[in-house]
Amino acid sequence: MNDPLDLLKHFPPIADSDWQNLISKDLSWQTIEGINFQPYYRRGASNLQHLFDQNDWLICAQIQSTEILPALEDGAESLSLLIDQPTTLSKEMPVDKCPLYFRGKAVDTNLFYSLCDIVKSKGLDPSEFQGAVAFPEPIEPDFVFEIAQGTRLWTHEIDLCHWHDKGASLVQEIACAFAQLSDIMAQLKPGTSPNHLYLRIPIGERILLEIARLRALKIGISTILQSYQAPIHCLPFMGVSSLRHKTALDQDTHMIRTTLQYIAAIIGGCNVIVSSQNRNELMIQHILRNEGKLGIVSDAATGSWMIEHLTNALAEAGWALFQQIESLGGLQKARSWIESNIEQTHDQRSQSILSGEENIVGGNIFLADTFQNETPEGKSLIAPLDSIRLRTETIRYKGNLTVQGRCSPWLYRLINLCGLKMDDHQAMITVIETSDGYIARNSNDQQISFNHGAPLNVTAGRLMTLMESHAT
Amino acid sequence: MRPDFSSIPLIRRGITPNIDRSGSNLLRTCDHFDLESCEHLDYSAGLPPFLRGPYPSMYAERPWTIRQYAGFSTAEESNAFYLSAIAAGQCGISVAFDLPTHRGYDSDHSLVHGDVGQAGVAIDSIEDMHILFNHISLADMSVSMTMNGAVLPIMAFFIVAAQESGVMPQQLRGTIQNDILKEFMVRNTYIYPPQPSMRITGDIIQWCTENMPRFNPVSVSGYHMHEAGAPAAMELAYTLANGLEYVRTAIDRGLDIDSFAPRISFFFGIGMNYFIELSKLRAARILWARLIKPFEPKNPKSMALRMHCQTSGYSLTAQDPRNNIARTTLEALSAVCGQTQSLHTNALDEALALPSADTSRIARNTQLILQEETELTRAIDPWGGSYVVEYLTHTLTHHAWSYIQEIESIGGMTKAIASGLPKMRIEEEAAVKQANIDQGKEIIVGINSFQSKSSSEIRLLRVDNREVLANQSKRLSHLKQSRDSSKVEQALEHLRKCASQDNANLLDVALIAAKERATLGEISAALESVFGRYHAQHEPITGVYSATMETDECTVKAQSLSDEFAKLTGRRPRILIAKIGLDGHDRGARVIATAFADLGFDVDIGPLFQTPEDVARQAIENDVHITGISSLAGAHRTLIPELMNIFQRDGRSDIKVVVGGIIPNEDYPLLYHSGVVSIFGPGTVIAEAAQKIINQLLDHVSHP
Amino acid sequence: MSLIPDINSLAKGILSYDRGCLSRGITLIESGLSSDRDKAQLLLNKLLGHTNSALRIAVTGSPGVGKSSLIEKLGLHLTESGNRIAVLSIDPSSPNTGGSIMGDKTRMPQLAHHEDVFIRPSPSGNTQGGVTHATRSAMLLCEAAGYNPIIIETVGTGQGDYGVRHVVDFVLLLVLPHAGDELQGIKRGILEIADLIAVTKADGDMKSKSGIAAKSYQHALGMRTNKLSIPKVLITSAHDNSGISEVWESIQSLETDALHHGHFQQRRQQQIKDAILEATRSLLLSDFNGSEYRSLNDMQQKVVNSKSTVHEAARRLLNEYLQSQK
Repeated sequence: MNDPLDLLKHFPPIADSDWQNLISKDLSWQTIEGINFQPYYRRGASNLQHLFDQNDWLICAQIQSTEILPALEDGAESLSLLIDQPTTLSKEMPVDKCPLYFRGKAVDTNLFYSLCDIVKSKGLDPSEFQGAVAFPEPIEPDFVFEIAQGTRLWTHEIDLCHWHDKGASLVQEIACAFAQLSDIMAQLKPGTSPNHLYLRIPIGERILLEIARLRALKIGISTILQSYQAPIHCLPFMGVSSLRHKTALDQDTHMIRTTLQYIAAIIGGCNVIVSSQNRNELMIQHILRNEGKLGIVSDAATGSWMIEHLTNALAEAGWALFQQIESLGGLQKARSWIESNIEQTHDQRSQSILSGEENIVGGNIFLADTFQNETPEGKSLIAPLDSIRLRTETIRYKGNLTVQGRCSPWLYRLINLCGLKMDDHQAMITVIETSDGYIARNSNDQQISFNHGAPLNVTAGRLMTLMESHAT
Repeated sequence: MRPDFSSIPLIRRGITPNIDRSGSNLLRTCDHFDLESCEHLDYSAGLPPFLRGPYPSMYAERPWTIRQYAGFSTAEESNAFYLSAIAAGQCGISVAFDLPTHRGYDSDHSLVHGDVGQAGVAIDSIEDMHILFNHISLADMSVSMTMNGAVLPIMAFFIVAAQESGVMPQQLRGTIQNDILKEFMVRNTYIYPPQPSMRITGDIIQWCTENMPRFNPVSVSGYHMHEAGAPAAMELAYTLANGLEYVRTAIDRGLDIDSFAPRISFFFGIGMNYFIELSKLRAARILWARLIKPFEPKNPKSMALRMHCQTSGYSLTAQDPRNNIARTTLEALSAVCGQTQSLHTNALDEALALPSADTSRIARNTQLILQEETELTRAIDPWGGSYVVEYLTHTLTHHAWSYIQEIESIGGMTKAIASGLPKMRIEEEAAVKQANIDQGKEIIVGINSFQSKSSSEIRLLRVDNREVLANQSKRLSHLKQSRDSSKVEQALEHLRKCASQDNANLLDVALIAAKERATLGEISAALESVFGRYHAQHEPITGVYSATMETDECTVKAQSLSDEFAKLTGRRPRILIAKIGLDGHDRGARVIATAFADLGFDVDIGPLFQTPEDVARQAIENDVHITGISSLAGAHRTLIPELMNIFQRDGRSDIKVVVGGIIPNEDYPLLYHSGVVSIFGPGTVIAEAAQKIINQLLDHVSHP
Repeated sequence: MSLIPDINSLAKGILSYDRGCLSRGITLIESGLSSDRDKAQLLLNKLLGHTNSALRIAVTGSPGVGKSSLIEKLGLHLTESGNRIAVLSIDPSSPNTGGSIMGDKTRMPQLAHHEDVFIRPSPSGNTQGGVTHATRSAMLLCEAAGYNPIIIETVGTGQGDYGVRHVVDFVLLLVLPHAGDELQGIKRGILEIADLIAVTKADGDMKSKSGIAAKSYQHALGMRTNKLSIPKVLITSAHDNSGISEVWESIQSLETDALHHGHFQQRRQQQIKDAILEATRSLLLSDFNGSEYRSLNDMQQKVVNSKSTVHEAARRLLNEYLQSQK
């Protein structure tokens, strides 16, 4: 019985209008980047862009110098060390085992030269050794490139985390990366190869956009380098985990995010991916490579109608913003302008998370019942909420609260956040719904009023104070 | 010179991809693939063949349903779990039943004491069903029940319990798995032989089509084939071929295709190979539409494949369980990018025991993060157009189609399963995969690479099943006292009569029995008296494991050790591989059997569902050196000590007992204390286990 | 290795129907160690007076024909009438790895569960075909343990099927309900030794086909020359449980007939003679194999260089062996 598959015979191609007719709502979507996207892209003009050929990446562990051996045993293929204090490098640095990346406030020429010495002392060729000695700001591009001449070391870091931690959107990060690159290239002697440059990029969990952003960066970087007539057209990417949504009081849940971030970093084409000191995070990389088979295909997103569209959209928007920065004279001159833009984005983002408009699982919704006494992650937008929850724990007092009237989802969230229980019988606090918000009263008749939708951490803080004064 | 960027546009280039072929069979020929020649590139979502999704707007209008499968030993505990899960964001209920229920036994049946309440909830009567759904409005909550063997009494209890709480059948939403063909193929929780089983399936499809328009009467499952070792194209082909068989069954009864086909749903497993798994789901939709089209449906929905997915349990490791969070995340991502309609994500300790509240929470959060924080719910089929995904979709579609044609040439799935072909194919793949893992060719983190030095500190959920047993027994005797026994007997007699003739819908008849408070065991036994209980017979495969292992050092050592043993004692080492209790998953046992035979052992395979007495008798009759018990479902804690006692009683404590499978660390002392000599957890290299066993035997020979 | 109690206890145990002792006795017999073989002979000696008491039946046929299913139904039928039966089945060992998989009990689960039944699967081991003195001796032990009849189940390919007729009173050959092409495929030889033929799986769609198949086999049997009577061809279905009692009745009438005409005893006597010769051959062979021969390598070279024939080389080797025995 041979029945051929013959798809087109049974199902003719579908026109755009056929699908459109089935849709009654506007399903387009916007993100904080301000770009409008469709839910759905189809085969159109050829948008096959294959942007990079490298398909595997170097697994990197960020460690203290005492943890070198365990990290290597756990399969780290490169090591990253933070040098924030003046340090003498030990002769036991494993320069023969893997690339080493040094970065931090105290990286200086001493460190650079002692590294080269160690390399030589182990009988290795310093011109072959891979790694980074990333000099801190302020940097003289000419100087760091000269010192590195003849080696393969990366000495100049373009750190997108700087913008990311200030609250930048993806478009802003892209634009700043372009602008920084342009500033650097402008300062270099013409014809100098920028092969000691690398980018350090924080990867978030909006997978499709993160993949697109990495590809968008490659397009723009290539354009800029070509415009400066540089001999190379691409730069290495070091991907690190974004800490913006780090839920310190829910580490296991956060591992889900970390996994998604690494996936985006791999598919988007990072050359190195850095895990923190946690062994689990290293294992995630091993699993994604060996079991998930990610990294076999280079630029797997090639041709994906959605991701190519996102790539182009982010690239165009980033480029347009970059052009604006250039017209203001470059990044150094336009710094305060772009930083105020970024601050607006930050405020918008922070507000939506702290009010509960945007859900962060384990951070402002679906909270864990019990948690360890962890330190909130400073760079996380969840930190204020984590602090409040820790405060509940430190006073060791989970009180009861009763609500008169409707308990809205926002109020429910607030109560959860404070670790309070709803119980009519032994309530210390009564919350009453008013026409424009709520009033909370304790049994000493002290009261506060707050609005619906206010930042949860602030309101929680006031509520906690109210409760604490009941206790005394 | 600083260029004037205001006049410089972005420079783009479009080049052909250079895809590295190493490591994945399916990607090997990608280089020569001409994307433009694909037939399916202009299909869309919501229109046949539904490549990009069964609905036009997919997640953009409504995200997939988070549906976590759970069963706690008693109906009360399960109910409590459902209520808290609903409060924590879950939108659908999924019920897991215990093995005695699956096989049609009441909890107080003599054969099942080790298995009651393990791996799922014990349902003996409609009263248990009432408790299960206490405070849950069945008119508002979608309920998915994984039941195949004892599907008649369970459906009957469900429908009548709903009616008694004021919800009519027309209002009920959800799914019953009711996929008996795959039971015969891989899962072994059938009760009756194939023909009467298919009749029951048909009766349920018909009854639901006529009375429960919002309920899916069958969930054609590929998950279990996936877990048994079937690669993607095979899982696709055999699942869809099963579905086709059910469609034909319904059509043969005179049902119109459009009256039931839109309610057929599917259930796939999601493994770790990210791009292949996501493409598999797309291929499934194309293939199903293609299979249904010849029935000339007027309603296009009849061709739309709707699916539930579950992340693969097989891919999880008991070692270093925290690693499983990443695995489940990747698999969930795959399912979501593949546009599944509902999803179950495994908890990180799912390989060890029933998930605890903490680990269930993380499992659920995986989906919640995907819904809330990734923007994936905005996009319809985001990977569409990707060179590698479209290549894989194309290849899997064609590959699966050829498997389907092969089944058709045998005469359809019922005949094919009777011939043993699909099961044999799957077993071969499983043996190959095991050999690859044992050799280290296929890397599993924590098992054959990057092993953790410390043991895991996970609090496991233990089921003290003696208490469950006692409670269920009490409840049963109370039920039997308070009901009208003559009416029950009447209903059961009526059931028997209708079973032996072909003139009534058995679900109709079972409803009456359920109302009168007949138990699950009584209903099943009534049918068994007419249909008989089925015992499957399967030819084991040989030579596949050893062929794949080739000249691996470990294998060679094991083989020479068994030769040495044969020379020394005059017999080859002889091992009985037995399955105790009601657990029907035999992939592991069968892989071990074929591997051991290839390593020079004489291997006796025991039938499924054996009691400790059965196993002991077999071991003694065959005079084996070792008895290997395979345990996946927790019954080992009671049944293995029983076995050891019987050996003692019969004077054969010289027969060594080893245990393999999912054994939590906490149980090791108990087992060793009862006399077990070795315990092999998942991830044990088979050739190493063989060496250990023979060395122990050799030791014993020199120092008896 | 089991802690085998002494031979006396074993013998006693077997005679008192102790399943464990019978099992260990069979293990002794199957063992390749010469010390075990000696012990096995001692054991047999002790039990000789209690043997020759059962009907011995072989059930043979190609893989997939349904031997186990039929044996299960037949066995259950027999136990219902109060018989205690033993089933010895032989599964092929891999020539490469030496191992084997024996899944017979999975195919006869109800029978395996029955109190009055003893089922022992055995690997064929190194012996070609596997049915040798070991099977014969195991059968004798089962008889001493009071089982009657004894059923030997073998795969009907290779020399095993020839071997089995030297050990049993009747050979039941099972065939599938396809006539025509399959018939050509069945080896001439196996048809020659069958005493009774049963078509299996005659259920459902196959019912009509089996009638036709039965007739074809009957016809083929009619062309045999060296049998006094032409065996019957029966139609059975394990699934429907049909034809099973007819099989047993046919066997019983064959037995009555053969006893009446003296063929039964003749056959057994011939078998004993054959068995003695076979055992002698086997001793000779193991003795021969146990030594090393200088001439082997020389002769091998000569034949390779076309300086001698294989036959001449064999003669030379035999001479060397005979010399070494002096």
